[in-house]
Amino acid sequence: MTEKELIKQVVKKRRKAQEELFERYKRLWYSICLRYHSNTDDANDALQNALVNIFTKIKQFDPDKGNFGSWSSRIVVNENLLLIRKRSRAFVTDELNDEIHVYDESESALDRLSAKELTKLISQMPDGYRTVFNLYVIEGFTHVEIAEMLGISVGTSKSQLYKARTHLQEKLELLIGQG
Amino acid sequence: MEENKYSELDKLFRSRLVNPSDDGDWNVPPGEVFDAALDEINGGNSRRRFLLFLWISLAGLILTISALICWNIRTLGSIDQKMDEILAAQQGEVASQTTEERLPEENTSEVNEIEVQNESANNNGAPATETSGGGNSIDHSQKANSEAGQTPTANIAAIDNKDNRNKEEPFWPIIGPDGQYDSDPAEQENLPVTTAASDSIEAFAGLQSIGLLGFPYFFDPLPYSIDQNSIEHNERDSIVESKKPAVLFAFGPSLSTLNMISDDALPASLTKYDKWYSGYQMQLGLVQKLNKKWDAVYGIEYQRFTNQSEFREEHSYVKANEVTNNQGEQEYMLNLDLLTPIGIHSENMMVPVGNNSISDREEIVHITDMKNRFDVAGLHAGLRYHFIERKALNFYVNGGLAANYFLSVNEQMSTKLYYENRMLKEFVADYSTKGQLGNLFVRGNLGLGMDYRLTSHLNLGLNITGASSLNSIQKPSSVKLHVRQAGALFSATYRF
Repeated sequence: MTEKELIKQVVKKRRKAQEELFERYKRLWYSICLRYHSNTDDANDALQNALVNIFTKIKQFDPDKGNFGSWSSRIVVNENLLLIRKRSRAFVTDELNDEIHVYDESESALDRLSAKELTKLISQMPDGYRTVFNLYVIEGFTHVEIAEMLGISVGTSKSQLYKARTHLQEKLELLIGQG
Repeated sequence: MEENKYSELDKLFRSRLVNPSDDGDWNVPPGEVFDAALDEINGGNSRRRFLLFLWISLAGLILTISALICWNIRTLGSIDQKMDEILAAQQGEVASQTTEERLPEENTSEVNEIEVQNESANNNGAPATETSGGGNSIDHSQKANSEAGQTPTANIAAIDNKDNRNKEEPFWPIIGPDGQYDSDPAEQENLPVTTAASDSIEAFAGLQSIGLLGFPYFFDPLPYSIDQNSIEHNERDSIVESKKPAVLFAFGPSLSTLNMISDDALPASLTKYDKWYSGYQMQLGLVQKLNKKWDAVYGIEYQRFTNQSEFREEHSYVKANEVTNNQGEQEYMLNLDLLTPIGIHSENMMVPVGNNSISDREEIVHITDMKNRFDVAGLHAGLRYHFIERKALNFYVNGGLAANYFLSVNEQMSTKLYYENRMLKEFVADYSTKGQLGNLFVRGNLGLGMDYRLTSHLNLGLNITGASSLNSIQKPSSVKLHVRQAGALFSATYRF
C-alpha cells in the first residue's frame, strides 16, 4: 500500500491502517521525543499526545503538497515543547561566555558514535540546553523563532545553545578519550 | 566565527539524528503508547461519560444506604424503648403476684376477679374497653385496695396488661391469671406473624441480656418455633425464612460492549468494533428459598443500552460525481462509509450543490452523529448462595442463565454536510438493523450481592454482576460477536 493510500485509510479511522502508519514512523517520532526529554516516561507521554494529534489532524494533511514525515515530525516537536512548558521547566538565562573551547574532532572516533549514544548525550543535558540545541541544530529553527516558541529572549536562546554545545563537546571528548 | 567552530559538531548531530538509523530497539516506543493514544481518539469520551455516570450512581447508593441505616437505627431504638416498657410491666406483674399472696382473702379474690374478667375479654378477642363492667370493676378494686390500706400495685399491673393486650403485643398472652401462659391457639393464629416473630426475637435478646431466660413459657405459646435455626434465619432475612417466594424488583445501570472475538474471520470491510455502551436494566422476579443457604431466583428482564458517537470525514470533491436531477439542479453523489456495531454501513447521498463552484480536490466535509440503541428482553433463572449473614445484612454470590431476545436494534443518524464552513444539507435517518443480528442469545452471569433487611417484609439490595453472551449475536457464523456486560442492580424484595 502506498503512503497516500495508507493515509486515506487512516483518515477513515481504519485501525489496521493506523497501526501500519505507526509502524512506519514510530522510530522517527520516538527518537524526537527521546531527544527532548531526560526520561522515557515523559518521552512516552509526549509521543502519546503527538499520536492523538497526528491521527486527529491527518485529514488536514495533503499528500500531494508535502512530506508526511516532515509534517508529522513538526507535530511531534510541538507536542514535546508543550509538555516541557507544562512541566514548567526553567530556562537558565545567563549571558554568553566568551571563553570557547574549540572542538578537536577525531573522525574515526566520531564515526563510531551511534544515534543512540548521541541521543543519550543530548537527553542528559539540562532542559534548557537540550531544548534549544534540538530546535536550532536538529530542527533548524532560528534564534528568533526559538525565542518566540519558548517565550524567552534571543540572547537566552543563544546562551543556551552555547552552553549546550560546550557541554556536548566536553562529553564527546570524554567519550572519545575513553574509546 | 563561533558558528564555524561548532559547525562540525552540529553536522555530526544533525546527520545522525534527523533520520536515525534502525540500529537496535532503543528508539522503538512501547506498544501501550499507541494503544493509549487510539483509546483516547476512539473511546475516550464515552468512557469519561460512563465514569461520571458510575460515580454519580455510587454516590447515590452510599447516600441511600446511609439514610436507611440511620432510619433503622432509630427504629431499633424505639423497639428497645418499647421493650423496656414491656419488661417493666412484667416486673410489675411479678410484684403483683407477690402482693396478692400478702393481701387479705377478700381483696385477693376481688383482684383475681378483675383479672379474670380482663383475661376473658381478651380471650374472646373483644377490646378490653368493651368488657362488661370492666371500668366499674377497676374502680371497685381500687376502692377496695384503698379501704384495705394497700397500694394498688396489682390492679395497676392488671390495667397495664389489659392496655398492652389491646395493642396485640404478641407475647402478652403468655401471662394468665394463674401465672401460667395463655395458650389459646385460635388467638395465637390471629397474631400478625412477621411482627410477632420480629418482636419475639427482640424480646428474646432483651430478656437474655437481663437474665430472664428462666421463663420457658415466654416463647412456647408462639406459633413460630424460636429454635436456634429460626433465630438465625430471622437475623439474616426474615423474608426468606418463609417458604413462600418473595417478589423481587431490581433496576440499575449497566455498561456493555459488543466484542468481536474472531478478528481474523472478519470481512475486509469490517474492522474490530470496541465501543462502549451505557444503559440500564430491570428485573422482575421471584426469590424462592431452597434451604438455609440457597435461594432460587427467576423472572423476566429488560435492558436498553446505547452508544452515541460522532464521525467526521472529509472527501475530495470529484466533479465527475456531479449529476443533474430531474428538476435541472446540480447534485453531488456522496458515498458515506460509517462504522457501526455490526459493520460498515455504506450510504450514497445526493447533495444539492446548486451554483456552488466547487472544483476538483476541494474538500466537502460531513459530520455524522450516530446513536445505536439495543432493546433486549429476557427470561432469567439462577441461584444465590448466602455466605455471610450478619444480623440485618447478608451477602451472597449468584450465578445463572438468561435467554435474551432483541426487541429492537435501532440506528439514528444525523449527517450534516459542510462546504467551506457552510452547511449544505442535513440528513436525518432512523432505521432498524435488527435483521442483521440473531434474535436470540443466551447469556451467562455471575455476581456478588448484598441484602439489607429494612423491615420484616422488605429487603433492599445491591448486586454487581458481570455477564457474557454464550453464543454469537451476529448472524454470519464466521463472525463471532459477543455482548459483554457489567452492571449494578439496586433491588427491593417484598413478601406480601
